[in-house]
This record gives sequence, C-alpha cells and structure tokens, in this order.
Amino acid sequence: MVYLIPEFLLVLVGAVGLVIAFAPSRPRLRAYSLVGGLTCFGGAVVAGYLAYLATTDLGAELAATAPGYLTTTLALDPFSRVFAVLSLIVCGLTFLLSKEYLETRMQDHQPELLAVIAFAAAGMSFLGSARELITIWFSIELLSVCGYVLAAFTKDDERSAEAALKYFILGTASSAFMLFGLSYVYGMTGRLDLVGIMEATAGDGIGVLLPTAAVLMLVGFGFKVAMVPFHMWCPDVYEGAPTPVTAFLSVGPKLAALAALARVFSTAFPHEVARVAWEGVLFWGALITMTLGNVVAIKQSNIKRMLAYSSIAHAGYMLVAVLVTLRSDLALSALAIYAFAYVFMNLGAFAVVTSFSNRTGSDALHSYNGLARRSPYLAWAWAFFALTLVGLPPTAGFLGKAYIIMAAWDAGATWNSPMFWLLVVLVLNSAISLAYYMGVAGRMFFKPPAHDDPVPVGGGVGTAIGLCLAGTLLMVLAAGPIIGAIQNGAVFALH
Amino acid sequence: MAERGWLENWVNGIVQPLYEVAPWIVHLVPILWILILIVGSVLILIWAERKVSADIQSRVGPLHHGPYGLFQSIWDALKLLTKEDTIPKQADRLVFCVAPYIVFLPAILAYVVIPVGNGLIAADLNVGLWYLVAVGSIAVLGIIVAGWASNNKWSLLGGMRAAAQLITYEIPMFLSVVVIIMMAGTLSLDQIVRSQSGGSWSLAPPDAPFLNWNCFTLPGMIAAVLYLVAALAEVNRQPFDLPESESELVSGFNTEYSGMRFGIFFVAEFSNTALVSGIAATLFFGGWSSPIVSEGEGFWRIFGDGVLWYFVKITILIYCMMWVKWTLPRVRIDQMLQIAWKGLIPLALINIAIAVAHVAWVGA
Amino acid sequence: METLVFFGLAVPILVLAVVVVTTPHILRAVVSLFLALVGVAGLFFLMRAPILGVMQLMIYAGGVVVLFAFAVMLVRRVTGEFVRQQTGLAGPALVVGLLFFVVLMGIGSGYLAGLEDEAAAAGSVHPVSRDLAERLVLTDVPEEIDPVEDFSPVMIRDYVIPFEIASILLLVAMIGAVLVGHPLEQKHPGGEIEPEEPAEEGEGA
Repeated sequence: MVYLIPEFLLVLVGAVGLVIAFAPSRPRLRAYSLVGGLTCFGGAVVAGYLAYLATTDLGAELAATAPGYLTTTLALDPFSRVFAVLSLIVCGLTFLLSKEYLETRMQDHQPELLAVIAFAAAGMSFLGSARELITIWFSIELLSVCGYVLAAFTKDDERSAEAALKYFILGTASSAFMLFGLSYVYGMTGRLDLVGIMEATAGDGIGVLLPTAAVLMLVGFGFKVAMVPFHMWCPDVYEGAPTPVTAFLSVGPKLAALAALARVFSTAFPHEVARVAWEGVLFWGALITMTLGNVVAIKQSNIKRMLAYSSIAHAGYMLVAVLVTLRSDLALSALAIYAFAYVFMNLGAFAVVTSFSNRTGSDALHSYNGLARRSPYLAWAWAFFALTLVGLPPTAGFLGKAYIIMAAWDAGATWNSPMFWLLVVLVLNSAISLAYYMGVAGRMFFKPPAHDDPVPVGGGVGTAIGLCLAGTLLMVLAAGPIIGAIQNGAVFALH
Repeated sequence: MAERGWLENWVNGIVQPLYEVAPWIVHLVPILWILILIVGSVLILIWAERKVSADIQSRVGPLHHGPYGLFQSIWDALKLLTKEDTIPKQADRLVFCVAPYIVFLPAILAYVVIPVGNGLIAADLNVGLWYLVAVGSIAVLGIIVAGWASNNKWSLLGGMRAAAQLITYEIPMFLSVVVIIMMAGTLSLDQIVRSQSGGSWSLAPPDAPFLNWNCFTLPGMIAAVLYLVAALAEVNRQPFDLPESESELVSGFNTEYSGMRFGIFFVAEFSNTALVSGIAATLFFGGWSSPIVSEGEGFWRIFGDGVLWYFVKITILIYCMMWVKWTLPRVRIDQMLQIAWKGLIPLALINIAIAVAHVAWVGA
Repeated sequence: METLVFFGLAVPILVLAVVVVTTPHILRAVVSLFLALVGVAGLFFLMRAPILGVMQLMIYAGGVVVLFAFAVMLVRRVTGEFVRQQTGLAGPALVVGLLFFVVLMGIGSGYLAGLEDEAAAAGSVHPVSRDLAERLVLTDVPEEIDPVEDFSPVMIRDYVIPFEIASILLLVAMIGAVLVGHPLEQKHPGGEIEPEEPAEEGEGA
C-alpha cells in the first residue's frame, strides 16, 4: 500500500478540487493551487524515497510481501516510482504555473481544471507502473479522457472547441486501434500480464499475428506520444487549449506513454518476430518524428505551435531510448534522465509563454520582440530554457541527450550501422532546433519592442519558472552523482 | 439445494412422457408458462383497473359482461382486434410496426427469472437480478422509436420525455436493488426469496416469518419505497405518465397507434405493471414465501408456501399502484426529473451506505 | 436443439447487421442494431456465458443504442430523410472485412488449440486469465461453476486497481460531460425553473 502514496495523493488533490468547485471563490482557488502544488512536491519527495527504497533489499522484501492485487497489476520497481516522482512534479508545476492564468483569464470552473489535471497526473503515474493489459488500458484511457476534458475547457473559443473535437475523435480512434491490439494479444496468449505474454509467445507458432498486434498497440501509444504520423492533433490542440493545459499535455501523456511503451514492448515482446516489427516501426518513427518536428517548427509564427512541434521532436529523441531498451542496460536510465530534463525545460518554456500571454493575451512570435527590455526575467529564463532544450553542454538537456546517445552506442551503433545514422540524424536535429529556439531568444534580445510597457510576472508562474530553472540547474550540478550511481550499477530493471 | 415445488413435480409428470417422444418440448414449457402468466394477469388487470378506478371515483365500473363485468377485458381485446389498424402515411412503416413489440419484449424476457412459487421459475439464472435490471433497460428504446416513427409532434415529444424519464428513473431503481444484493449476498432471485423465507437460522419467531422480509430492515425499507416510486415512473403510470399525458400530448408516444398495435402497448403497460410488482414482491416482500406459516403441512404445504402468496402480494402492490394512479395529479416534467436527481438518487446512495452498516453490524 | 437455436439467432443477427450498414433510414439502422445486439446477447446465454449476455443487454442494447436513438432525435427532426451510407468504397471494405474474419478465425482456432495444450500441461499457467477465459467464454463449462461467485473476486480483489482507475475515469468523464454540455451563461438564481435549453451534444462521456 505504501507504494501507492503518490497516486493516492494525486487523487486526493483532485478530490479536494472537486469539493472546492461546490463553492469556488478567489481565495479558495489561490489556496488550492498553492497547497495542491506544495502537496505534489511533498509527494514527489516521498515518491523519490520510494524509488530509492525499491533499489534496496528492504524494498525487494516489501515488494515480495506486497498484496496480490498490487503485484498482479502494478510493477513495484524503481522505474515505476521514478515516473511517479515525475507525475507529481508535473502536477505541482502545472498547479503553480496556472494560478495567474486561472485568476485572470478564466471566468469559472477553475477548480475543476486543476482537479482534472491532478486526476490526469494520477493516470500518468499508474500508466508508468502498469504491468498488465487491463491496468494499462484503463490508465491510458484515464489520461486520454482527462486530456479531452482539458482541451475542451474553453469551449466558447471556437478554435479551442474545434481542437478539442479533433483530439477527441482522433484519440478515440487510436484508442480503438490499441484496444484491438490488446484483444489480439489476449486472444492469442490468454494472458494479461506482460511477463505472461512474453512466456506464452516464447515458442514459435504465433506467426504473423503477434507483430500485427504489437503494431496496433503502437498506434495507440504513438498517438499519446505524438509520434509521426499520429502527431496531427498536436499543434491544433496545443494552440487551442488554455496555455497551462498545453503545458501539461506536452509533458504528461507523452512521458507516461513513453514509459509504458518501454515497459510493454521490452517486457512482452522480446521475441524475434514481434521484436523485429516494433523495433523497425520505432526506428523509422523516431527518425521521422524528430526530423519533421524540428523542420516544421522553424516555419511557425505562433509560439505554442512552435513548442508543439518542438515537443514532437523531443518525443522523437526519447523514442530512440525506447528503441534500444532491449539492447542496452542504459536505455531506461537515459529515458528517465531525459524525461526529468524535459519536464523542467519544457514546463519552464511553457511557464514563460503563460506568463507572457497572461499580460499581453498574445501568442504570436512577433509580440516577443524586445522582451528583454520589457521583462528581463522572462527573457533570460527563456534563453536558458532554449539552450537546455537544444541540448547544448553543460545543460540538463545535454545530459539527457548524451545519455540517449550513450545508450544507443552501447546497443551497438557501430560505424555505418542504421543506429549510427539515427544518432547522426539526432545530432543534426539538435543543430536544426538551435535555429528556432534561438530565433525567439534573438527576437527578445535584439529586436526593438513595439512598446516599452513592462510585463510583470505573477507570483505563481514566477515561482514555477524559478523551480524549473532550479531543477535544470540541479540536474547539471548533480550530474556527477547521477553518472556515478548509474555506473555503479543502479540501473533500472523492470520487474 | 433447490427442493422441487409441488407444481413442478406435477408438470414434470406430464412432461416426462412427452419428453420421450419429442425432447424439444421441455423448452416450450417455460414459454407457455410465461405466456399464460402474462395474458392472464393482463386480462385480470384491465378489468381491475376499471373496477378500482370506478370505486375510487364512486362509480360502478363495467357490469354487463359476466359477473361483476369480469369478461369485460375479453370484449375489449375483441374490439381492438376487429378495429381498423391505421398507419400514418408519413410514418416510417417498418419501425412503426416493430416498436410495440420492443416495448413488450422486456416483459416477456423478465418473467423468465421471476420465481412465482417454490421451484416455479423458468430459469434460475445465477445472474438473475442483474439480468432483470438489464432487460428492464431496453423498453425505453421501443417508446422512443414509437414516438419518432409516428412522425407526429405529440408522439415525438412523448418519446423524448420517455427517454429522459426512463433513463433517469432506472438509476434509483438499480441503486435500490443493489441493497438487496448486498443483504442477500446473491443475484439469484430464487436464493433471494429463500433468504427471506425463514429457516433454522432465522431470528424471527416461527409464527411470524414475515419479519425476515427485506422490507423489515432499515435499508430494505428505504429501498422498497425508492423502488416502488421509481417503478411507477418506469411503467409510465400516473403520477409519472408524462410520455403519454393525455391532457397535453393527446396520447403521447402512442397517439398514432390504433387497433391491436395499440393493444400491444396496452398489454405491455399492464404486464410491466405486474412485472414490477412481482419484482418488488420478490425482492422486498418475501416473494412466494408465506408471511404466517414457515413449515407448512398438507394444505399449507401447497397454499402456505407458494403461488398463492405470490399472487396475494402482487395483487396488493398493484392495487396500491392503481390507488396512487387514480388519486394523485400528474407531476410536471421538470419536477419529475428533480424528484429523481435531487431526491431519489442521493437517498439511494445514502441507503447503500446504510446497507453497508447493516450488513456489517446486523449481519446479512 | 442448440444448433437450431444458434442458427435461429445467428442468421437474423447477420441479416440485421447488414441492414444496419445499408439502410438509408437512420432510425431503421438503430432498431436493427438493437435487435442484432439482443440476438448476440442470446448467443452468449446459449454459450452459458450469462455474465457476458447480461452485460451485452445492459450496456449495448439498453445503454448505447438508447443513446444512439436519443442522439438521432436531437440531431434530425423529420422522418423520411435519407442518409447516404455508401461511399463507393464497398469493395475495399469487403476485402478488409474478409481479412479481419480470417484473422479472427485464426486467432480463435489457435487459441482453442493452445488451451487444449495448456490443459494437457496443466499447472504452469496464470490462473486468473485462463480461468476467466474458460468461465466466461468457452462452452464446456462444468455446470457447478458459478460465474458470479468466481467473477466478482477477480474483478474487485485481484483487479481492484484497474477497477478504481475506471471509477476515476468515469468521474472525469462526468465532469467533462457537464462542462461541455452546460450552457455558456452560467449564473442562474437557484430554485426557480430554468427555461428549457437546447441540449448540446456531449462528448466527454
């Protein structure tokens, strides 16, 4: 039961939000977003301790004596608790960065929005640790339904309503594909747990159906991850949804689906035929996703659309880590490190966008001209997050990318092998991404502003930016211990 | 465990020789039994409705056909059969014709699992109660479709109201049934009746086995009231007959129906009335078990613990429903929805909590 | 007898299913779908899978189809309007459908064969999933097994976590439906009768 503290906390925070929604008022909303955010950070510490505990003997003993309903449905390994930490941090940061937005730009239903975000974060956490098909299905649906609701929150805005409808229809279609794949797998093996599926498909005689099922499941996950060609919803939804919601959607569902992807495919389909299929699809998927995301991002004139394509590109990078999970012990560590860096830098960038649009009401790139003069804090913060997102040394983004490259190298990326060229494309893509991230920074510092009104930064979102800065910096400062821990063998093992 | 009732043994005595000749005949027996139940109860109920309404309104009611006008229903049926059966020109003919049967379908399907006497049950499904709930939820489609296919605005309004009303009142109905499942610990209706019929473990004195009935526990009592109110709405009877309220919607969803198609709606309404009373009797009032004799001998073995009590109970319940119908005025549509969403459903949820406490402390 | 009943149900189901996708009357499609689903429930009962049959009746026949009918009534006002169902892709659709059929048959036969193998080498299998499959789907269930009693511990003990996740999911779906369906002007003084709003199509649920 102790293992479920992160999920309990998230559901509790959401439930409190629903109670507040009975009689919403400004002070209550303010208190809720602050206390809720702080609770999440506190929970993140607990979850971090649980992750540490899971690597020790005591944790192994606890996992061995855990009740059956826990062990059949959830994996009690460090990897799952690391993603619980992530979901709590994401939830907490989103609570903080949405405070001013909710107060100034939404008329009502603000507590519900935060509550749904907390429920979505709970779904994220469950998805990261689910180890059998029913739990995977329900958590991914929880995450999706929360996403539809969040995207539809500003339904009086036509663009937002259209985006929400698109998201809903495409999302349910992809869920249907995934469910189809799941039902094939269950039909063929008669097993629901991932390990059992692996055991049941060990022999031959499964034939062509298992790869088909694996690819169908990949469609569902690919939609959540925004893998090309299932990325179409991404720019529209990111642009139409309220900015804090966009910030959440750009990290939450994506990271949880990546974690589940890594767990499901490396645990359930390590055998030849299915493995060739999903690794092939993921290889090309990662390649095209990162390239398309970066190239299209250059052309955008709206910062939310730009960040949407940039998040597609980042999904492409992380898919490389998922791709090599079976070949390298470093892959899961690389995924986790990149995920942490991505949460801080991407939420930080979105916090800057939220803070700016709270005051100016504009998301157009040209309105960022000369921001350095109007709000140095936002401009410098953006410059820092941009550098991190590009992955220049010595930032947290570099750490993440370096680990992904190391994992791929470890997996056997020799000269002129396909994996080698994938890494070349990855590095080239980082260079391309410099263009648009730094393009915005250039606007802020070197273009003259339309007018000189200062852009004040609200307390909540300012704190969120500060926390994101601190998080990225901390990762760099702690790089030594992190690398040391990984080299000492504290790698994630799925069980 | 199920000791066979006397009637089933008797029926088996006749069926057995037939079974030797044509084995499929056994599948016809329950069907025949259900048809007899439905047709019989409907014929009596139509007459009873007239007599009860007349009594409440200080009239005499039907007199001329048979003693006390008992054969009135048969003449009614004959009249409907010989009437011209019109179908509006603009109606969707196929759907128009199918709709009455969809309304009638759940009544037939539901009787399959209702124990009318000791062992007298067409099929003792172990998901019986769940099945009953599932079957009960399909009648609404027939009413919606009938209202739509008639291509008449009164019918359409009636159909829309029916959809809102039936879907709404299904919820408190199901929630009150959940309480019974919790207390009886089974979904089999036969077992539910047996759990109320007394026995060696019973706390009730042997000469008052009715104290075992679910309606004499606190959650069961609340559930019974909730169920009966919701049941009135589910069968579209006053004060909840909004889908066909004749003073505002002519005749609601069945405005365009005439002849035997109207007759089928009529039969469906009465058989549904009998059905919900039967379910209420089974769940809350001990089903076929006797309120006064727990272990009968001879005559009491037959009539003390069986069909008789079932029919006595549903007669009383149906009389109450008629009483309500001819006494209370019709509620307005928004009042009706408010009663369900703001009154019955919260109460039913609280009642489930009470039932948890009851099962935990008093015992199932 | 069982074969007779099976074909008595299966043939109408297929005919009705074809009607669903070909008829231009949208309400006829709804009614045919309803009858086909009730028939499928009948098939489940025939296979002695009462839980599946009851779920089929309650969720599909009683729930989904009624919502369909409701949605049809909200969207279209007059009978006799025709909807175009064919898009000229009937050929490819037929091919895909046949392919799907072949795949399903393959899975079905392979699964049954696999179960027989497993029964031969009993003991090494995950108890929950295999037993569920046997109790809910296969026809050769021993009579004394009570599907309800065996089903409920699996659902609310072994799989209590997905069960609870599902309840949060439904809660969120409800919040979403209320938010999306709620009319935009918010503040009504409580207690008095609100004018009937044109219902909007919910999407959250």
